[in-house]
Amino acid sequence: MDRDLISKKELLDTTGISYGQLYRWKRKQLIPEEWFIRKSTFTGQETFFPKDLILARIDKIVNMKDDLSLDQVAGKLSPLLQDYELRKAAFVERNIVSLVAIHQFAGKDPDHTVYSFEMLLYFYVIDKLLQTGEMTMEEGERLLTVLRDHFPKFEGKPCDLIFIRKMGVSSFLLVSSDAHVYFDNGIKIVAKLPMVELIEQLRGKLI
Amino acid sequence: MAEPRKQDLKIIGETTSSGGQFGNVRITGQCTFRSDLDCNRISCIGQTDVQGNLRAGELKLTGEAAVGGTLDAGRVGGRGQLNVSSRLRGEQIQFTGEIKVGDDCEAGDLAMLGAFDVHGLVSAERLELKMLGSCKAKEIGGGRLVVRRSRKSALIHLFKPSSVGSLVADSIEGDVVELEHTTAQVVRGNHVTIGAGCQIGRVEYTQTLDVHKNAVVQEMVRQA
Repeated sequence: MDRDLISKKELLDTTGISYGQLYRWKRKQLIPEEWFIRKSTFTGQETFFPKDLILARIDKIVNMKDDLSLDQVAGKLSPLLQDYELRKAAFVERNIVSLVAIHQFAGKDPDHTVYSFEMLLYFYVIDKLLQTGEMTMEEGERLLTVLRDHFPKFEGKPCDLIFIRKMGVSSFLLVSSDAHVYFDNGIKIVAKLPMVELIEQLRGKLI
Repeated sequence: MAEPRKQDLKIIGETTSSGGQFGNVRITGQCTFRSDLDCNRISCIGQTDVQGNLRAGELKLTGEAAVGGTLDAGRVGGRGQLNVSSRLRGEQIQFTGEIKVGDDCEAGDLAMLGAFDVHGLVSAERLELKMLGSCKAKEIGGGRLVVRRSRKSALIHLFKPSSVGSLVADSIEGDVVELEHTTAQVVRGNHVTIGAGCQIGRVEYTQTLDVHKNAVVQEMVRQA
């Protein structure tokens, strides 16, 4: 499926920024490298961007840069795609998460429900664990609650999801990535997933 | 809590180090770092080889340096040869000699006398390139880009006719672009000056365009 793309030239025209600014922001990592999509056109190579993402991002940078230095702005832009939204119908169509998982966890939402990036991420994580056969559907429901209640508290800081089981009783933990966690011997760590990696994966699939 | 003071490192002669975090690093002679090196300031005289990534607040080089990974530096200065296998990112780069970069080379200020060979994008807010040898880049982009052939190039040409200051790039984009002895497929900019010895496929400009009589431009397009 082709996303709506905007060429570099159109982008500079519509936003009124200069080449210098665009390259500076790229260097400061305000604009992710993956958004620079090279395509060959009849005039040679041209660079394109995912239209909705780049316009929202530039709007944000332009608004923030008056009060903050560029390095501070870079800190504010979390790895999550904050402005990203997708309708349920489109999400199903993209085939990123299995239909079974969508039926189970989003079955009640009508097709035109708009999901935020975080919500998509939760579905993605759950689907991933379901696919490996390590987690049951009921546990998935609980995981969804855990993610929804606690994941936003990390505010984009790196964290890991740990899925443990002891004597058949399962539990989910969200811990920040630099924390050490130790368990007693009876605990089996079923899965340990770095959320940052999952965010990257999902981002790669969406863009 | 105050950060523990980082140790300084001083090397004279020929040494191998495992790398790590340091304050000031001074190398006279030859040194190989087996993994990543992170320091406030590094000054090298002779040959330095970092097999991992190099991060430095300031890099001063006289001689030869090779970085196996990425190079992130605040300031880069000196003369000699600098090889970076992956990406080079610096705030201020002022270098005489040759820079080779395997991926992108991104800088705030990039002032060079000599030659470069960059496989990816060269981007700089201000690029001032005085060419002594053949320069190559896939793309060049930035605010103000000035490319000239150094006057000394003519002298070198007498002894070594093959090496003459010139630049080859696929595309060059900037707000202000001034070129000399450049071969490019596309040049885009607001104020574009195409100097002597240029061969450009297509120029797209918005404000002004100057073309030297000894330049060849196949197509010129003014955009509103």
